[in-house]
Amino acid sequence: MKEPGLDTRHREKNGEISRKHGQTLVGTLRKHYGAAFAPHFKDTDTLSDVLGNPDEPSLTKLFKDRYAGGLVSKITKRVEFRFGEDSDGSPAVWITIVANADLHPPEAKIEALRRAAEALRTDVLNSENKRWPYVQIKTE
Amino acid sequence: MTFPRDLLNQAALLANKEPARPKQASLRRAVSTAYYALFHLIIEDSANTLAPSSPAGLRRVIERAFQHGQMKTACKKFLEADIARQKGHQTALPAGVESIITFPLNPDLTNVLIAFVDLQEARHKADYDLSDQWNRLDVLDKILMARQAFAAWSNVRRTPNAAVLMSALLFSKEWHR
Repeated sequence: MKEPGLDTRHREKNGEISRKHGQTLVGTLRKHYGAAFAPHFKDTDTLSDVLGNPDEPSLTKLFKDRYAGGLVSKITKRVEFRFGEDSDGSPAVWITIVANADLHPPEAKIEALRRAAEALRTDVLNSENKRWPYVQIKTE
Repeated sequence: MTFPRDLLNQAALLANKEPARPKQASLRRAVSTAYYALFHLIIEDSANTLAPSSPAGLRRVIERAFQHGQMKTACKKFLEADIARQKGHQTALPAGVESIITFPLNPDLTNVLIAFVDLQEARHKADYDLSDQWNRLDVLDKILMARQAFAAWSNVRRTPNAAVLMSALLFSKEWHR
């Protein structure tokens, strides 16, 4: 069965989407995610543009798809973000991975979320977004 | 390096202090302690690199000169410069500083820079912002981030780029004059 989401040839062995895919066109992504994907963007905009100015449903879809079938996808409910200023007054974006509540998370779960958080941060840092990305985890 | 390592271990103890219902006080102190573990690890190495061992006590005086906000800004500028260079853009670093940094930055150094910025912001939230509740998963993630930064730092602390960074943490504000 074909792996859902971005074409399998675009995946690294660890399931991550490499940096070059920031150039993937929104039009291409809509073929996978449907016409409603990233509604504020044109077909000719890139994934990097979306990550720089994300909307929550699109970011959640991208995030869950990246880890499709894996632990992170199973424990992640959604991805949220909000814009603001950080403690020193610099523009920032807080990206929140909302996960299932777990009082005694196994190490594998923490490590998987850690890797996912850093991959997400790297995407945003390498996008056209000018806000500093802070990644946090919420549970519910 | 005993003190920073002890702080890191203490952060983990605090995060797991109440097995059933973790108290916000424990979780918040755990986040704060994880940040201070990394902070002390870096300023101790920086003082040892930047100041001679004699007279005794000089390095401790140097350590007191490091400022949290300035360190965070310096880390951000390094990372932003690395990203700008990868995109073929100009960096915001003074030319003299940029010319002595080797790009792209080692991923271990990048990990330390990101962890420092993230943990400092988390510490600020943990210590001053009571509007949000912390959960154990997030706190353990921050502690793991600090632990990985410790390991990454041990790989790069003797490199020329780390030497520039350690100088920048203390002096970068003056470099733009």
